[in-house]
Amino acid sequence: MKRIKVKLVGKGTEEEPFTVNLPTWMMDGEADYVKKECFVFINDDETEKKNGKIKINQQRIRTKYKKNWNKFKASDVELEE
Amino acid sequence: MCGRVHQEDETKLKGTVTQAAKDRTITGTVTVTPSGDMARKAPYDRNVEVKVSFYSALVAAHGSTIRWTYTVPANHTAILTNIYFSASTVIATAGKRCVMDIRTEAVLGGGLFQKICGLVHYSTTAYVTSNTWSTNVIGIAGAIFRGYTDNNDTVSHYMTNNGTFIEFDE
Repeated sequence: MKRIKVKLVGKGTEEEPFTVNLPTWMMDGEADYVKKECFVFINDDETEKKNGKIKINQQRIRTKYKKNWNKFKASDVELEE
Repeated sequence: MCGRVHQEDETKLKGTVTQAAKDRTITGTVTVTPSGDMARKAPYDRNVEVKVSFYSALVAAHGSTIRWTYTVPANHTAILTNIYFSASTVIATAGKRCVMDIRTEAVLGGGLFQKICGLVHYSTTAYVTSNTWSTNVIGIAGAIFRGYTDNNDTVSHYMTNNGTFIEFDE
């Protein structure tokens, strides 16, 4: 698993719970509800190394999950550590 | 006649035997190898991988928050099993509601996910509540499972929400 910083979306309600827009992930520790960000673990095969940093592998997620994920954009989700 | 004959060839084979039987006697064994669904390997022989979705942390009051998501990859099937929840605190609490649950997508409208199992903790003292579920829930490719927490109490709680997924080829 690789640990990355991502955007937290949602309102904390039953209809719109706080969440992360990735297909498979696990939150690490508590989220920052004020800054709307958190750290998550994602599968190794869904990451890649770019400029020495661990990044989401957008293409791998598109092909691995297909269906609703075939237009997934990593830039909409991840944040710089 | 000996050898292995695929199921789809069975009709042709019968025809040949009937025709041939007019002129001579055929002895031997015909083995029909199952094909299609009957020939499928068991799940544990289909590139099994075990994935654990895990959350455990000391968390203050918060609204409904998804702590993990597991989506069944394309061309795969997954079984959710060994579910474990627990909630505890180190000081007496106001006894407000703490909830941990796992939900999956369902046609409820408004994008709501249906709860499949959970734990509700109302304790007014420093106390642990836990629950283990070993029942299997099957998800087809594209199915989504989510682990939620919600703490309406005035103090922080250690909250745990775990599930194990056994993933294999479709």
